[in-house]
Amino acid sequence: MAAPILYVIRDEALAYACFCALMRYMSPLFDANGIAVNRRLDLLRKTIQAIDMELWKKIEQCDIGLL
Amino acid sequence: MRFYIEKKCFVLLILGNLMFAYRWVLLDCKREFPFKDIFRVFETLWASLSIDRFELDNNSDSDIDDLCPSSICPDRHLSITSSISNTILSSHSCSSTRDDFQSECSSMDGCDSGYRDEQISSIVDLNLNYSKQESLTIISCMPLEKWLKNFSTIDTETDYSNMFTIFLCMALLEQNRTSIMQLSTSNVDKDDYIGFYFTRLVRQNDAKQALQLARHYHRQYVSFQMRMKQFLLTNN
Repeated sequence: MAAPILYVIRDEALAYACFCALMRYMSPLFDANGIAVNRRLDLLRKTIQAIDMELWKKIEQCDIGLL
Repeated sequence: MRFYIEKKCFVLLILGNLMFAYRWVLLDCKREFPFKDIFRVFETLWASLSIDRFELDNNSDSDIDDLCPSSICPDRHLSITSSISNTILSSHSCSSTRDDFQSECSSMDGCDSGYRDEQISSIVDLNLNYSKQESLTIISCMPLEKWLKNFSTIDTETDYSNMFTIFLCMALLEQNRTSIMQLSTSNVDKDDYIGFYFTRLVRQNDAKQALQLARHYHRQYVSFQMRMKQFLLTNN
């Protein structure tokens, strides 16, 4: 995540500050209990189901192979 | 109780699905696109707004108004990070270094970021793109109402999650739809077929097309939500 910021800003100190701010902004996602990530995954699941049921069935089928 | 529900949800997800999408939602799809396209992706992501930041427009005939950030009340500031990064990114890309930026990465066309100066014709462009490439199934061209109706059951209670990321993941899936549908589950030695498939595709997805599709979804989603809001308001 830091690489694009550094590439655009070209100033290590400033890029570091931006990266820290970005990480603070995204911190819910990296939380150990994974609530935010799982909520997102859940949203994605619902979105796939809403938009493309056929694809969802395929994905489900593939994931059953995982068990 | 709340903990229990979330725990249950977590277990369901582990047993169920989408482990291949874990990296996508965690890192905002950063790994999926070539480095030169990441700027465009991030800028669009950070410029997109969560649904509660859109204001209800009274003459809701024109959908594009709902998507224009100028309809947001100015006193409601975005989270500090995104606004700072946006200003930095956009001011930088408009500055004098823009030319050598463009020579270095041709696909990054400067000031074009997200919704700010996007023309409404992009939906038409999208459809054209798809009709050219017959390998992709045209899901995006199905009538708006169809998927949005299924979609309305989603509770829009969101703390961090911004729907644009979700739609971007969806766009990635749609881009590779044909290949996914052809994946065979007969090989038992591989654990996660879809995950394996997408691991090979790291940094190789077409950012421009994915963003277009994601914007298309997001636009439909926002205008639908606005209409729902309007509907509820007039009914009360």
